[in-house]
Parts: sequence; C-alpha cells; structure tokens
Amino acid sequence: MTHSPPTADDDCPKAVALVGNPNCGKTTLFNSLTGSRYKVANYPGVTVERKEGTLQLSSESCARIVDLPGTYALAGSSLDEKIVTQFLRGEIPGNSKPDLILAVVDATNLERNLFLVSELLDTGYPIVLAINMMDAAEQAGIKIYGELLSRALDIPVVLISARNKSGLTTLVHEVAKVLETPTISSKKLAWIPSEHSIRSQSENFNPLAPSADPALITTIGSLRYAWIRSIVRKTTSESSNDDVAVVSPLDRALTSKIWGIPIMLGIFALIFQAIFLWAQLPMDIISGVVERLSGWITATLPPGMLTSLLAEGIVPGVGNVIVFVPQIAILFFCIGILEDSGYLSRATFLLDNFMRKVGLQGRAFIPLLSSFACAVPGILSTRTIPSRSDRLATIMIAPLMSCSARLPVYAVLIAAFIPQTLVGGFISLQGLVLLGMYLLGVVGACFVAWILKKCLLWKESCFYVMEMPPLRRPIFRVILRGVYDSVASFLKNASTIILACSVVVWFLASYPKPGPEFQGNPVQASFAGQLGTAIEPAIKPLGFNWEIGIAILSSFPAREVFVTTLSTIYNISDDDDEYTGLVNILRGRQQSGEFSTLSALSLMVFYVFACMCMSTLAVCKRETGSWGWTLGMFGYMTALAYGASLAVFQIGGLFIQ
Amino acid sequence: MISAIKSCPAELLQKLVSMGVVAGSEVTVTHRGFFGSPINIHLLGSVLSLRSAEAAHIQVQPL
Repeated sequence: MTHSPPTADDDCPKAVALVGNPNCGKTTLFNSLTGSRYKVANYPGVTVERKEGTLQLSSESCARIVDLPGTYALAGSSLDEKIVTQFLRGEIPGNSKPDLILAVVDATNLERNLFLVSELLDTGYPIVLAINMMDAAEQAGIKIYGELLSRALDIPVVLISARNKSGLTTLVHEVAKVLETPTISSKKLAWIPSEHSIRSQSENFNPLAPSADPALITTIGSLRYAWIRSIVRKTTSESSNDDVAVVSPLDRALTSKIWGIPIMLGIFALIFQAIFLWAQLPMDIISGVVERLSGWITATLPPGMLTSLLAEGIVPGVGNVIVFVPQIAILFFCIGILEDSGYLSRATFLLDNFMRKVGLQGRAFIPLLSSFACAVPGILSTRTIPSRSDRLATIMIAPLMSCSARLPVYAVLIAAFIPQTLVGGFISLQGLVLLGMYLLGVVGACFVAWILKKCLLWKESCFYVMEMPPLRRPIFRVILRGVYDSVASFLKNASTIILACSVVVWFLASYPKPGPEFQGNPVQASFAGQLGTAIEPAIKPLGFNWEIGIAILSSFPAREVFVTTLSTIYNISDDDDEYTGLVNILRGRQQSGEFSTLSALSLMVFYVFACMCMSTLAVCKRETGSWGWTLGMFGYMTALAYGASLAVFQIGGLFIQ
Repeated sequence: MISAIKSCPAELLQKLVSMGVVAGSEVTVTHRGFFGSPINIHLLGSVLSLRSAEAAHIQVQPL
C-alpha cells in the first residue's frame, strides 16, 4: 500500500461498531482488521476498555471501527453489556451513533449467537454479518450456506476465520459497499408470526429499551428462538451423527470434583514458583545494574546536590520499581496462558462456592491471585467482574494480599529475629512465620470483604451465569503482546509517582544538613529525622522507635524502600566506617535490647495490613474514579495495621513479662 | 428439554433467555460441583455454568 493510512476523524467520517457474543472471536477480528494487536482471551468480559481503530476500506477511504464489549443480548445487565446498548442509542458522550453494525457470530454456536443478531435487526441499523470460526465449524462438520442465510436475514453475510485471516478481504469489501449505500434489512420484527397476539403491540418493541415484564421476556425469547431455529435449519447442515454434549477427558479432569482443586493448586503453586524462582536472576541483574549505576554516578560526577539526588534519590527509587518487572512479566505470561486457553473460567467455576461464603464471586479470585505479586495488576484485572459492588470489594481487599514488595521486609526481619529452629523436626520456624504473614493477610481480606458486603456496599441483584468457553490452544503472539502492554503500563503508571516520591524522600532525609557541632546521627537532624522523632510517641505503643518511624514513612511510596532506608540510617549512625549487613545490625540491636523480637513481629504484622504503596493508591483512584474509596482504602488499612500491630505488641508483652 | 422458567427476576430471566435458556431448548447437565453447585449445562453448542439457586428456576422434562 502506497498511501499512508489517514487517521484523523475528518479523513474517516464513518463509524463501524463491532458487536457480538463474548468468545466469538470479535477481538481477534478487530486486531486483524485494524492491524493493531490487543488482548484477546477466552475469559468473559475482558474487553471492557473502549477500543477504536482505523479500518482501511480502499486505498483512499477508511472508517473508524469501535470494538464493543461482548454481550449476549441488548438487555445485558453488567457494566460492559450496558455500554453496548448505550453506544447504539448514541448516549455515550463523545460517541455518535455508528453508521453500520458489523455483527460477529461464532459458526460453531450459530443459534445462540443469532439471538443478538435478531435483536440488532430490529434496531434499524445497516448490518453486515461476519460468521467467524468457519475453520472450527468445518472441523466439527458444520456447513453454513452464506447465500441462503444472507437471503433469510436480508443482510450481507461473509464467512470468515479471524484466526487464519481468511475471508477478511470480502468482509471489508461488503462493509465498504453498505457504508456507501446504506441498506436496512426488511426482516425487522420478522420473528413475530403474523397471527400472533403480540403483533398488535409490536410498535412498542424496541430492543434498545427492553421490557422488564417477565412474561413478555419469555414470549419474545421463545419466538425469536423459534424463528432463528427455522432459519438455521434451512441454511446449515450438520454431518455429525449426534449433538450430545461431549466433554473432553482433559476438561473433565480439570473440573473434576476430586481432582479439580488439587490440579488447580498444583498449577498455581507452579506459577508461584515461577514468579519467585525464574524472576530471581533477572531481578538480581537489574538491582546489580541499579547499584552500579548509583556507584558510578557518585564516582564520576562532582559531589554536590545533583549527584546526591541522582545517586541516592532517583536511581535507587526508580530502580526499586524496575526490579519487579520480571515478576510482573512472568505473572502476566502465566495468567495470559490460563486465560487464553479457557482455564481461568474453570478455576472460577471451582472456586465460586468458596468465594461466595465471604460474599464475593469466583471471578474475584484472579485479581486476588495477581495481588500476591503486586496489587497494581490485581486491581487492573478486577475489570472482568461485572457487578460493581463486587468489583469495589475486590479492589478494596486486593492490597491485603502480601505482595512481592513485602517479601524483602519480611525476609530481613525474619532472618534477623526468628531463630533457625525446626518445628516437629522438619518444618522451619522461619518458613512458618513467613507463611503466617501471608495467611494473616488472606484472613484479614476475607474479614474485610465480608464486612464490606454486609454493611457498606449496596445490594445488587447478583447472579452467576457464565459461559464455559471451550479449551483452546493459546496464541503466544497475543499473550506476549499482552505481557508487553501490562509491563509498559505498569512502568508508566508506577514510575512517574515513584520518581516524584523518591525525590521528596531524598530531600527530606538529606536536609537540613547538621551543623559541624552536631554529634550523633546526621539523619536525626534532617526533616525526616525530626518527623521520625515527632511521631515516636504515636508508634511507641507498637514497639517502634524513631528510626523505624522514618523507615515506615519513607516506605510510603513503596514498601521495599523500608529495607533501604533502615540500612542507610543504621549504617550512618553506627560509629565504625565499615558497611555492615542489615541483618547483623538488627541482631546487634536485639542483643543491646533496643529492638526486641516482639517489635519485629509487630512490625511485620504492620506491613501485612498497612497500605504503604503509592502505585496501589494511584491505580485505585483511576479504577474506582473516586477519592472517597481511595482514601477509604488507605484509612482502613492504616487503622487495621495500627490496631493489629498494637494488639501484637501489647498482648504479646503480657505473655513475655 | 426445558419446559418452563419459573418465578425468575427479570434481569436473570433476560440473561438466561439471551443465552438460549427458553422453553423447548434441549439441555444436558455435564457437571455438578460440590453440594450440587455450581452446575454446568450444555445447550445450543455451548456450556453454561450456573449456581443451584439460578438453576432451580429452570424446569425440565425428559425427552
């Protein structure tokens, strides 16, 4: 193509809306038509963001194409299903009504998919119908006669396979033709038999403003299906001998009553291993590079404020975020495979019973699982939860899952304070304490979710009807693109805030410089030190001193900063010039009685609950669109952290003394 | 075969109907979870997963 594709609205005045059931391959078609690649998955409702691309109709004309969320009917109840109806009514601000609907249906599931098409026919929009997944249909022995179907529905019908990119040229050609001379199907309301009694009220039937009368819903539904069935019978043929439900042995095992849960636990244990083991090497390399870079800056640049800002503020601050990229990439890669293959729907199915006990849906499981790596992608993935109150509850508890940023905090405190003894001869006490911290977060999350659903969030009619997509081989090109998107958005979202915060923390810990007569710890004289001393009375009941206070305050942008800050403060305050490892310093403090094991436990419990993460708050603000929920999250988590920590230190103190 | 859908809230009914759960459709139960919930049914070439509470609205008769 010699022409550069025009992109501005003026060049592409016409708009095409892509409408279809979930899992009909709509997003794959969108990607192929626009040349852009986005997320495609088996998991219901993953396309919640509005996606618009440019469809090249010919060398000089084009149209805008909008990928609408997958829906089964125009009267959908979830957030994303309502968007479709609003969009077609022209009610979404900034979006005019489309000029044409490109309806996509799954050839292997024609009857159910045509229900939505029969509703679309009633709207009076010009429609082009794409029958997708023809390759899969042929394999299953289904034959579809496009010509006959086109005549029966009175709209252009094109047989395609978005996966293999076959039939797309014809499809684009048909779309261009209808955009040029719009034609409306004569089959509007054709599903009502001429002698039927509801024909008289047919003027009131607007699928974009559906009736809520149960009797009418049933009647309309039955009539539509009867009409569709008669058309499908005339325009398709199936060579397979029986259409009895066939569940593959693999699928049977994955959702089995006995094996389902163990297999799922095995899969997720493997993912956790992958996140911690495979990410170790790249993480070590990244942190090594960050350290070198910081050292190189100090050595090469003339000493001064700028050098100090770069070497002690920005580089370690931003580096602390980049370190987690390998874990996030691996997590999204694994989740991408599970999602694209259709396994996540099965995990949701297995867990629905349990999640319902705490007032959540099975769907909340994936966001919560992701939150063990990082709450940011966890909160982002709550978009797949259709009920708004369930989604909010899940967002609110996601940061209670112990994320990978807490691990350095737990690790250093456990190594310093918990003895390396074995419980019962083979279970390490250190490992038990670590597991305990993870479990404490989970228990806290169940409790908070239960309270939220019981008292705070409004009641919403919430039901669980979910399509179980067939197991498919995942497309790796699509998954890798998804990983890239997630990592890029993580870096963009988090690094801007972290960058700003690292500058602020550096400034507060470095200024004002103590005078020459000042004896003792230079950090104590800084703003941060003064702040630490000021809040000491508030944190004393938890067993913390001013140094811990600074470390906690400085770790507000990101938890792992706690370890760095503490190490810096202790190294500056200790008299000897030699660098001492933080674990050894802490052991020394324990022996001198300045810091007890109980304080360490209290500190760990504090980190289990405390919302010490700017990125989480920023993402929460973006996803809930509300400062109220964001501040609420910060508030309740801080209160919980303070309360739990206080309880540990005070009640624990009674037993020890 | 589904004979009727009884006393069902409009929103759920709309969802079930749009997914092919109407009188006259053939269904096969392919899976039951612990305590009978969730329950998977096969109809019109796809598998739907429901809780027992939702499935209770659907009345069936043997073919």
